[in-house]
Amino acid sequence: MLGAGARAEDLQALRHNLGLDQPIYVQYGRFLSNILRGDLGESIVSKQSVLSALLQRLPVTLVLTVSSLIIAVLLALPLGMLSAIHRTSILDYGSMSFALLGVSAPVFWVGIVFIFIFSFKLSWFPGSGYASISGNGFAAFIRHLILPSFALGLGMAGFLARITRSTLLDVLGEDYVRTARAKGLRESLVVMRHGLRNALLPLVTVLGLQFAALMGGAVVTETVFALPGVGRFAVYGIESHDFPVVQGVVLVVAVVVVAVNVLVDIGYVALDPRVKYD
Amino acid sequence: MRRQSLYAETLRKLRRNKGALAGMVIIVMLILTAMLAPIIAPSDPNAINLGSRLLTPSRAHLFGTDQFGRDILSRIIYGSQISLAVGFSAVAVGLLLGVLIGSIAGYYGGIADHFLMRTMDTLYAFPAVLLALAIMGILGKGLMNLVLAAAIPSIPGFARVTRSTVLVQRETVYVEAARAYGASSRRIIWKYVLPNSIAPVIVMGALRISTAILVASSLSFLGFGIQPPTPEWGAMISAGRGFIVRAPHLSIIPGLFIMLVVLGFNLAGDGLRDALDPKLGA
Repeated sequence: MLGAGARAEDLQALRHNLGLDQPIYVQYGRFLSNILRGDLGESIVSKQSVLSALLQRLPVTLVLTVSSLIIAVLLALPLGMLSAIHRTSILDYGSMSFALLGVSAPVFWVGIVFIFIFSFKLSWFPGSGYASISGNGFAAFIRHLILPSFALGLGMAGFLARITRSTLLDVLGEDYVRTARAKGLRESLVVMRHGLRNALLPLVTVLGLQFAALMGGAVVTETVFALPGVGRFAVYGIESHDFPVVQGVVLVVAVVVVAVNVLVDIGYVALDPRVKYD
Repeated sequence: MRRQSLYAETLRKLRRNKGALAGMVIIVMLILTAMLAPIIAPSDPNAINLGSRLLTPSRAHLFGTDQFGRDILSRIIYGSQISLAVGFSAVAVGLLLGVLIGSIAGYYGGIADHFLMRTMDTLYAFPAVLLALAIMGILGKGLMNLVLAAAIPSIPGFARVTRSTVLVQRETVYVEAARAYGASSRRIIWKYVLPNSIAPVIVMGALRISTAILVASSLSFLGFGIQPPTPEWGAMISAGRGFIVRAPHLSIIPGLFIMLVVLGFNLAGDGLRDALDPKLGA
């Protein structure tokens, strides 16, 4: 912070001001008590409060992750179901190849390819930046969101499609599915009501666990598409050695991940009446 | 005897799985490319030639040249060494630490178990890329730090799987027998518990190589991993971004190779998992 040629007494003063001359446990205790009071410290570079900077950026990241989650589910369910129902057919191989490619492609590269095709070549969507609903209107908001959400959602879609296929295959082999077929139920009803309904539970579990991966992907996606979210803030924080910023981002993201997993746990009760929490 | 037949059985199943075979072919090609890089690369990956900048793919430069006129094919070939090294060593480090933590937690139980596994749960709450990024921020740039940063997010997974299998092994009759004749805990863990709980960890390791490669290339893409001019695929994509309109091949080609390699490890890992999972049958 003071540069390589800093004088010893300046270094000492800075250490004292930042509290770095205290033992680690004192520093950590102060950090914890500040968090409890909603104080994540201030940015070393901009002197802005880290919490307010994060709260400003968090909606962008949440919008991005939730929209890519929606895209992932909308792509994955039909793909996984098609695969499971038409097992070992060309449809199965086709959708699972797509899913595997989705899982294997690095998200930042997919983003760049999308920008190249859909922004530079076809001029369908803007290749960077964020538009808020209040400031730019709903249409601009959606147009700016489509490429990053698809780029981030594609990998998750591939992952979920594979899980959907395997859990649905498990469920479709169950006795109650045979019973449903035996009583003459239409195949579509068997798959939807008896198959998918029971395959959803493990799927939702995976969704919760994978939410962390999606938040991680958001860090890279925000950088590719120049979105002002917490991920890009973290990258900036590390580049400029702004540790309160990095600390704040890591903490906030972890809180979001834990909160989502709690919601998933609560969601079980709605999805499966057999699950009860005491 | 039994272990040998299990090994043969696994190999037989792997050979019949077309996906796994394709994956293994990709991995073998990658290893050969990395080892033979100095022989097969058409030119020095760092040789700058400003007279031939941003050339599109041609017979002289199969994948074209970059903004400094460097041959992209040669950079891709040398870049395979880094992907491979980082992928394997990150998983090796993560696996060793995870198995160590998981077996201590599982075998001893009690307060050690609680402390270690709650720490692992905490690590789970951080997205791998973000955690790796923060670690790079603290440790600084460089290959060794990149390996560590890609390894640490994988530790909780290995620890959990090891712990759950160790918990089962701990209660088996032969472990009880070993305890009865007075074998030390360390001997029991090394000789009886770990060899019998390692299979699921190996499968997980095979599947984690692709994740490690993706995390490491993401870090390099963001500018925190391997530093230029070392040819690294993620960093090449990043450097090519500025020329996406004039020369899209700068970014597109390295990305295709990351995808191919990750695909290879995913296919092989899936195949290994299916072959070792007795529930799936032959």
